[in-house]
Amino acid sequence: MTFGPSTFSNLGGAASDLLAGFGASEKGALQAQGLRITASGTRIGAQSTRLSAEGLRIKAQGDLAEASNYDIAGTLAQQNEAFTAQSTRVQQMQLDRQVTQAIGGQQASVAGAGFASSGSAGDLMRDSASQGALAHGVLGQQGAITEAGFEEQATSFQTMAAAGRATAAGEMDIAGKTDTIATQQDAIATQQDQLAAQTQQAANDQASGDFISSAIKGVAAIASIGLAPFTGGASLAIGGAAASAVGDANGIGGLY
Amino acid sequence: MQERYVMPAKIDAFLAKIRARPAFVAAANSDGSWYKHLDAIERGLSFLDRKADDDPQIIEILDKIQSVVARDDLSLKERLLEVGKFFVQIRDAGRSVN
Repeated sequence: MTFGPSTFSNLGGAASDLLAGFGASEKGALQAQGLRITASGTRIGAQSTRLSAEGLRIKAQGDLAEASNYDIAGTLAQQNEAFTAQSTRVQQMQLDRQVTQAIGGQQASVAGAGFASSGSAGDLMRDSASQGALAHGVLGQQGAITEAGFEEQATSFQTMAAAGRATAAGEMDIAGKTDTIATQQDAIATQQDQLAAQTQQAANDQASGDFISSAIKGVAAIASIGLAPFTGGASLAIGGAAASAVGDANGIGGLY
Repeated sequence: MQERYVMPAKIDAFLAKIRARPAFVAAANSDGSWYKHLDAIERGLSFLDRKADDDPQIIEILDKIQSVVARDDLSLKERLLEVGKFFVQIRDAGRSVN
């Protein structure tokens, strides 16, 4: 090995490798730290996603409770419809009975007065029967209208209950998919952590390589000190040290 | 600043000999960057010592290095060049990056 231009190159190279080694290590540490922070953010995102899923499930439970209430309301509406039909029939029967009693009373009065149930008396009784039939019909119609209203309510409540259940089912489905996304986010976070570790390892490896290269250049440079006097190339670098080393047992010598 | 690593005694003694060698002292007085070279060698050796815990082959090489630096039958330069060969061996084997 000679002491010449390459020695200075080695000197500069060794320092450069050393700096590169430290730089690679620190850069890698920073990159790894950045990746770990990103992984933490991803995990927080996953937790947020899980909370969203939980929120959807709670909303679905609310929708199911609402659907149950609609079921109850629908059943009550159906019962009201049945009660109305029954009530209408009872009222019609009461009305019919009143009309019958009224006509019967008229017949008794006519007969008591010695008249025949014909002529004006007959007209009067026919009119009462007609009015009674009309009132019976009106009562029936009103009952039918009320029944139709309850039936409409029942149908509406049933529709709302079905919609609530469908919504709840959809929300549960979305919650399941949201949970899947959260799991995927956790997996990504794990990968990011692994990447951080690998980045750190790669940086450490790079730094190690730089340290070894630097050491090799250091060996080459320092070993050249001893040969320098014989090649004449050291005088520029080490001046008197090289000159006094030539064949002088009392001189400073090389590395020999 | 990096914390100074405590070297195995034989290696430390070897480096101390180089550091005290008049030729090195004269060179270093002329140009302070020679100390950086010696530091680079020291860092390389301390790196190997740290890596040895995880790598049996590096343990073997480090043992050889400790053996060669203590050999009085070789000149300081010859010992240094032997150490350099071990560094090259490690570099070429990719041990420093595995």
